[in-house]
Amino acid sequence: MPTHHACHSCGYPLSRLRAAPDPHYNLPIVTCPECSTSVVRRRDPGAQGFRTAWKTARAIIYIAIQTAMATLLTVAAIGLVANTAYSARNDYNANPAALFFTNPQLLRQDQVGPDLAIFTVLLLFLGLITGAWIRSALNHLNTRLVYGAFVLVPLVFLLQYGLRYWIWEQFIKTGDVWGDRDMFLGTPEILTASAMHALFITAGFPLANSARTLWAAQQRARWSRRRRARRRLRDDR
Amino acid sequence: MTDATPTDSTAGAQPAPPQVDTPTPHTIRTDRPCARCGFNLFGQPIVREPHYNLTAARCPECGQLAALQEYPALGKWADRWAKLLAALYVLFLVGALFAHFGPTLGLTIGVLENSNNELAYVIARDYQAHLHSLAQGPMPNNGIGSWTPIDQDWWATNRARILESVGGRYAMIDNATYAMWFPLTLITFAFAVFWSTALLNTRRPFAFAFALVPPAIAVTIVTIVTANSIQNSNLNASNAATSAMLPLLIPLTSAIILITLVLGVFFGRKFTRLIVRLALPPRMRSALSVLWTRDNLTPPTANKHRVPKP
Repeated sequence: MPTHHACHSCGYPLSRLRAAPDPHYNLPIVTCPECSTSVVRRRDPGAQGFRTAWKTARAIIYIAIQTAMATLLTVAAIGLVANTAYSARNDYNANPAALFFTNPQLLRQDQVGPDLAIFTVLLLFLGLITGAWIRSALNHLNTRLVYGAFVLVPLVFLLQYGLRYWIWEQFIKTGDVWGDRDMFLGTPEILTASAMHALFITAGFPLANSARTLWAAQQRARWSRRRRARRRLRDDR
Repeated sequence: MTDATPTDSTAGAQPAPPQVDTPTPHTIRTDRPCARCGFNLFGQPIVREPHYNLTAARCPECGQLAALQEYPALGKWADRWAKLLAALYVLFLVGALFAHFGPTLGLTIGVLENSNNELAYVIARDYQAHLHSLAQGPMPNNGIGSWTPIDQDWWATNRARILESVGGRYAMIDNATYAMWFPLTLITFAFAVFWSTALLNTRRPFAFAFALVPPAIAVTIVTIVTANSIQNSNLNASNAATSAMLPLLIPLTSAIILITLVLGVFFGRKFTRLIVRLALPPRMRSALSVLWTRDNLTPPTANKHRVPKP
């Protein structure tokens, strides 16, 4: 039921009248049909408070989703790049990119299972999702910087194991071994897998562009419907 | 309110309304921000605008009309909801205090327990050697570990010697200790940022004092409990090692917590604003603009360097 609202001048009940934005000031104005007195209808503070609280909650939820997605995509990239590099090196003793151009008959015959294929397909999916995410949810940021961050953070994280091992081997050589020797030896494979990841991300950009175009078209249609409804309201008044 | 002049839709048959505001002898005597630009309209003349004959004031900065007669507020419910939300927020803050206290307590205990393994083994082995020398029997190879019972008097006599033999307390800090300090630092920083942001209406020193309460209680409890464990009759190698490391680990852990809290509280709002800028598109940032306005900063606008697509 609408809240009570009477005309200040003649007492006519104005609750049922729509307060369409007026053409001069864009204020929600109700004009009394009895005496033509105009008043501005303010949104109820209670409802306005809920609207503000919901906006704030939505912004916080959005931040939580963005943080979770950024963490998830980065951790998944670290895992998949490392596993792709590890599988290429240990199962095939070859570079992951070179394997695409190698005759299957020439590969090592003692390799077990389709691990590399699975990891590569997963890396492709991850790249597509990351690219779509960068160009949709993070489109307000500089795309190159975000793209660089999504590629470099996993790469730097993986390379630091090998770098620490190299520092230990070159300069220290005593005590506990720093870093990881396998990661150090697998540096070319890690770099290649990371380059594949970077390439797959760019493949995700067009996906987001198409989705955004569809979304924008839907929004335009929605707003044009609203504009038509407002125009009808004004004409009725 | 007096009768209004007709609106535009009916203006065709009647004389056009005057296009200038009609002054009244009154001015706005209270604070009232402009709905568009936020300029304080205090002191602005109250006029009757030409289209609807509403009493209004115009913003001298942006020209926006502020209507002064508005729809009345909805009874008591707005106030009730506001009180309920405030109470829920206080409950949430109390819950956050416990959420801060729990991990800090656990990780401080973890620091002490993870740092005593090596020393506990040395103590147990030394004590077994002592028993062996008394009994003149063979040295036992098993039964030496963290839970080996230790004699109170023997420990009081040999404590300094054993610590010296292992190279002092600092030598006992190893990767296991760092493995506890690292998450403690992360959690403390996260909560410091949270307190700095959640207590937005307080000054930072107060927020720091507030954020200090859970870790202070946690460290005090751990110190008292650990110090008392040495007093009871069931002393074992682990308790002895923990009590030996206590004078080093508690000050170091407290220092780490303090430094992290200071950094988190004093840079927390900047950090939160950075997260908001990174995560939210400009149209959604206005909901959190209080993060800027509270510190007398201008809320962020849309990226000026981006050219909107046609």
